[in-house]
Amino acid sequence: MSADVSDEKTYAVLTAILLKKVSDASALSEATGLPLDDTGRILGELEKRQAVFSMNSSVMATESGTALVKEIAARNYGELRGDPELERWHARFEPLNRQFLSAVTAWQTVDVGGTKLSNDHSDSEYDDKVRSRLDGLVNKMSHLLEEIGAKVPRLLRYRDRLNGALDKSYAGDSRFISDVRVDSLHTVWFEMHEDVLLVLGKERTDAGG
Amino acid sequence: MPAADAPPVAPDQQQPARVLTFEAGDHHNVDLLGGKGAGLVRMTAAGLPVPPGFIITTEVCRERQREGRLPSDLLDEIARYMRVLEGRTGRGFGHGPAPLLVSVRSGAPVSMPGMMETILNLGLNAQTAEALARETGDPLFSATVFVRFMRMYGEIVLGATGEAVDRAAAPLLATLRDRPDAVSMRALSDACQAALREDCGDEVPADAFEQVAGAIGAVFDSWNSRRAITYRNFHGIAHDLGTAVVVQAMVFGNLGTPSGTGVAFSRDPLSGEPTLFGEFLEGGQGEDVVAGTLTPQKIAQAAARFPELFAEFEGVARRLEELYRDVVDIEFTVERGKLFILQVRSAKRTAQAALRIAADFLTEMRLSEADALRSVTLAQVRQVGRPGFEPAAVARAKSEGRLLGSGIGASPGQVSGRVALDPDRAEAAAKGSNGAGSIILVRPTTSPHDLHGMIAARGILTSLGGATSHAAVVARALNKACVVGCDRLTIDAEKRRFRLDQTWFDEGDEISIDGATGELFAGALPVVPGGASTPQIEALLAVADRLARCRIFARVATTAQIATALACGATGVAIRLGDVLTTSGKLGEFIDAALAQREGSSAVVQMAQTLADLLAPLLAASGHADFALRAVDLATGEATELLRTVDLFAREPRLALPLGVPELIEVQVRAMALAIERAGYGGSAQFIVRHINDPSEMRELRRIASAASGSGRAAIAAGATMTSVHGALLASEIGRHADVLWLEARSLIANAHGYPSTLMLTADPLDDYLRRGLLSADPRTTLDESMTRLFLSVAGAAVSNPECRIGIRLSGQLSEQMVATLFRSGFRSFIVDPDEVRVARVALGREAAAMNPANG
Repeated sequence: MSADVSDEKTYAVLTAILLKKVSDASALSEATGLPLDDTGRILGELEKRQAVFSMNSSVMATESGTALVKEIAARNYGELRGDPELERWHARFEPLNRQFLSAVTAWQTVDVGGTKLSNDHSDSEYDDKVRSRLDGLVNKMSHLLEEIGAKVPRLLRYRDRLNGALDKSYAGDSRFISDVRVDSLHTVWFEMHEDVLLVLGKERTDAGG
Repeated sequence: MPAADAPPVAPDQQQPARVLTFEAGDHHNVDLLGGKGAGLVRMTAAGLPVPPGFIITTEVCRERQREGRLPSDLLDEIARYMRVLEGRTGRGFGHGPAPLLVSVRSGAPVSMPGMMETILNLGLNAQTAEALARETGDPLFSATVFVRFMRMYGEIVLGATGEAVDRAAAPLLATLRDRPDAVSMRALSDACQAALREDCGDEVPADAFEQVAGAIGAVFDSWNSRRAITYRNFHGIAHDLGTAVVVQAMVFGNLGTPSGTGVAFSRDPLSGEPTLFGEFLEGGQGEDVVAGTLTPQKIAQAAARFPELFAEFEGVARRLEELYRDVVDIEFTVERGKLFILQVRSAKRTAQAALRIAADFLTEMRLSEADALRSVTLAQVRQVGRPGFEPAAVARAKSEGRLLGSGIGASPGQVSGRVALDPDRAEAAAKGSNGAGSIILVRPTTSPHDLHGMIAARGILTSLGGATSHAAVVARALNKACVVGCDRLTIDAEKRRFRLDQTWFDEGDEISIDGATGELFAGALPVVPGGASTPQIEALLAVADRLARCRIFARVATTAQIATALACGATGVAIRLGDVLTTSGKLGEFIDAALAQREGSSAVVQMAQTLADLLAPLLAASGHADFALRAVDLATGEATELLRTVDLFAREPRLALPLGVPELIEVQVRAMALAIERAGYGGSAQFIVRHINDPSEMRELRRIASAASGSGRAAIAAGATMTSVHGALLASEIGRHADVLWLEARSLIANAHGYPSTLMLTADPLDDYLRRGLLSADPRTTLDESMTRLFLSVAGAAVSNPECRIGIRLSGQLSEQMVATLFRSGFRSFIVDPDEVRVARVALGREAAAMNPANG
């Protein structure tokens, strides 16, 4: 069967590659929630179409792959983009995004007499409060993802990934809050943000994000 | 507390008390009172002005867990205690004319996530809010407090979304702002309650006691929240530990004059100076600061206005420092001229301040030497020594107009580097071989696509975004210097250049950024090792040295590094001759001479002068400090690639053994002796060879060394570095022939595990291994039983050979645990990286103090 790149699974894998820049089959399987076999098969097809290229076991998107993602997004989600319900959704997402970034910042830095210092995580009470704050935000985000998931089921995966990162942080591995080298809350949140922007055909504004 | 106020039921000795006033509790009993409650009890007992309140103990939480509901007579008991509060405050709970409001907080014996935090202003309903409005003459204030209460109660107890109340209340509050009499509290209450019913099908009880019962139930529920249970499981905290609940009278900073609210540190948390530091908001509540409706003044200004009040506060701050034996940050409120302490915590502080405070507490005799040393973390000592721009160069750059402007400092660090405008090019340039290395990534904003570039860069600069932007968050996670939101910066990606105001910069130009101040400079700025030291810091370090009595060698390669190391308090320097040869470009010559030796050439002998020329300035720079020179190590490759070792061994297999070519050892010792003479070096020198495995090998090394060092002033001690399991196990016998034995921790641990030495330097693979449970202890930071045995074997050499000194080389950042173990095992000499000299001094001093409680 020739690869139909516009199907949801293929799009999911290609977007994940794009968001991760460099990735491999198992990370992509984790990110998309697709079985490893499927991921491998889709990667093979994408490579045949020269949308991605792989070196050793790492895969990267080619320029045409990058263009392809935008193209498919425009085609698949074109109808959704004018939807006032989605606009309202996005308007609710933005403040949540700012709160999230501010909570992650609180995790990384503490305010001392008006000066920001790196959080040395010696004050567990402070850390616990921030973690509770993040917990609340992930909870709210999960509801938002469930709403948009009714239209774009693929995005529901981010709910699971966010909660997975949260669980790991509660289980004592604090890297899963903001470390950029693991699938931390922050890593997943940002991939989600980029993904949502792609779906909605919006550019990152960076008022706070 | 006056006898008339005493609660009717005295706490029973057998049965732990269910409810206790702040006056009645014993602050040591944290398990019963919870952390927060114990703190309040302690402050009350110390006579500090704490708003009155009582604690529902963890016993009630356990009872509720057993019975599945609150004890039936608890509410009666609470009502009795509430009457005590009414008596103390002269206010009425649930009724006017002066309604008593209380806060309800959770307070577990240990902090944990998922717990309910605080509900403020319980006791309000339409009638009491009206009474409060009349009492204060400020309906807007009363309304704000009321809405805040309903929002919190709705969200925390009823599970409503907080916005529901806010949305309903917003128009009414707006009206009140213009016309204080336009909205009744009844109307406000109805609007909020309707919104809550709509949102969650429930409303806030009007009865004040029912409110309290609901809040207490919510605290106990939060003890059993999924998160809290997960957390307790993970940390092995007993589920029946339970949480206490603190009920405390609210005080208001906007009632009468002088009134107000503030936050203050008992000492300046930035510099550590012993002066009050903080802000006071006259006539306001904490939320007024957030809303920006009132502007706070500095404590010093406020103190000038209300000298008596702040003299009292100063006394309270001092008393709290005594109580906590630490610098504290204090939330306080002044209600009609009466000072109340709301919350006290150990103050967070900069690293600089932490060291200064430890030293001052020591001189003020608030802390023992041991406690003063314990009050700083090694990370703080390290932070104070972090390298930064040379202050004079910064001043010069500013006077020369090279300060280009500033953005928002988002992640501290002072770095210079060449600009890259694209993450791919940043990565390529950082890896580039043409001495590139230091790159500053300049972007309008960053996204996940930029991550690899951010990892490669030393610093990050963006034109957009704030302190919580992606760039800032990632930079902090990566511990990279970062300046964001530099809005005068325009990037022309196509032409690969950017503009700051009128000045254009091309990609590849050098700039410097300061991630703390947000400043940007044109060109590179010289970086100096940190450690702008102060007399206070020096005093603290001197205490550590006196307790530890250790020799600390800094591993260095240049005269500049020697100067820095000695300034940081190193008692000696450790130099690898191989490094000196590499940096001076003479390594090839040395190797050629070594190879020629086979053909009977005297080239090696002639190297003596060359080597002495290189060593003399280093010895001169060392003054009287100890000087350990490690022989060139051709046997294993710390510089394998450079040396083409395999090739070398094919041509001269004897080079693979430490003493394979004795002439090589001879010439190095002779050069050292010559250099000592020439430099007039007056310290104690030692010559060290790696990989010594056998006592007779050591005996031979000592013979060669003593023959070669001659009879001049240069008494050169001979020693060995243990890198193998074999050598370590035979250390006592080897030590019989050595003046000094060093153990190279990283090499020995790696060798003993069969790992390449470089693996010990990389975080990820071993971290991953540990997480997967494939190693029971981290070999980089912990000595397990087998390693301890090896290390103790080397340490034991000192016992059997009192003449032989035993030391250890620790690479990279010191692990506190490792230093402690080693000190306890008897190691007293350490070679550390120059950045870690001060860290080592503190770590060792601290361990020495812990071992000898007489110092405590």
